[in-house]
Amino acid sequence: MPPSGRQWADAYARQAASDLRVYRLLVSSANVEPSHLFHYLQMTSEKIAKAYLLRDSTASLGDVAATHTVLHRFLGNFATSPQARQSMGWSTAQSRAVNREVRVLAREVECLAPAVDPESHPQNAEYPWASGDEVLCPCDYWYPTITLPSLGGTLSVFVSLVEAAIGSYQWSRPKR
Amino acid sequence: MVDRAQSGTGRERAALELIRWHFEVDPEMTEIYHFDVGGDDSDETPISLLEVTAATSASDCVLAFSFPGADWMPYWSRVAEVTPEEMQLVRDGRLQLPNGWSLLHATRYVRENLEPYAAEWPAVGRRICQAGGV
Repeated sequence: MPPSGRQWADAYARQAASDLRVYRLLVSSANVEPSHLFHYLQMTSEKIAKAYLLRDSTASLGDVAATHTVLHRFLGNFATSPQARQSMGWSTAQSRAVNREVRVLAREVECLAPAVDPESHPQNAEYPWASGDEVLCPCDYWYPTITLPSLGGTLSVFVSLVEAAIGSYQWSRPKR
Repeated sequence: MVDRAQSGTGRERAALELIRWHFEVDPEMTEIYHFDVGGDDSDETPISLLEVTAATSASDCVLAFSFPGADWMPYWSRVAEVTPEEMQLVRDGRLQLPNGWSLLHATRYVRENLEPYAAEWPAVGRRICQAGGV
């Protein structure tokens, strides 16, 4: 008998937690290019979003693996979930700002996967891409839409939400 | 028409609190559909909401995520969001809802008819209409 959707979901959640540990390790390491940080950030956040989707829906593994619009919807929903509201301790105004800004950042993080939008958003975190008559490398790129000072606060909130989502992933399942 | 907020169970009051909260934190939210999927105060059947907001991006399907409760809302919730354009596709039957969700068995809430957030429990979340008739 092939593995169940729930088995896949739990495995995605475990791998997301592992990816997040590596992200934390890289953040605390010297001389690591941003592309490596963001590669792991993209992987951990996409995997936990897909873990919830596999757990909570009847979607097939193939469909879930192929979709690339999970993250911003998941994180927007999670940011306003009962547990996140309680554990984060944000004011209503802060929650409103987080809900807006995290969605924007989630779309940027989604695009770090090379397959998502190679035409209009070739700047991914894994493979070189063409820019005019040049070839640019992820290890030389600074990802301004993610590292802009105005988004600095949002990035730490984003990581906190991903971490909270991994911690909140339940190893039991609500009834449909 | 029975006002669920007046006569509702703990689940229904909790659902209204969650609906108010989601309207509060997303200024672009225009409608929320609360699906009657059964359940009572003691079980884990999630409070199921379809939320219409321009703050999200269009997708090719309706993605629903489940979240555990908290002290202020002690029930599981299952939430999906769609753009206003996608909501029209749902009404037209061209975009499928998750299993067990039907507009024929949903209550529709709109921002304009919710009382201020600080209102007393029974005053909030007025039932507007049966969603299936929209």
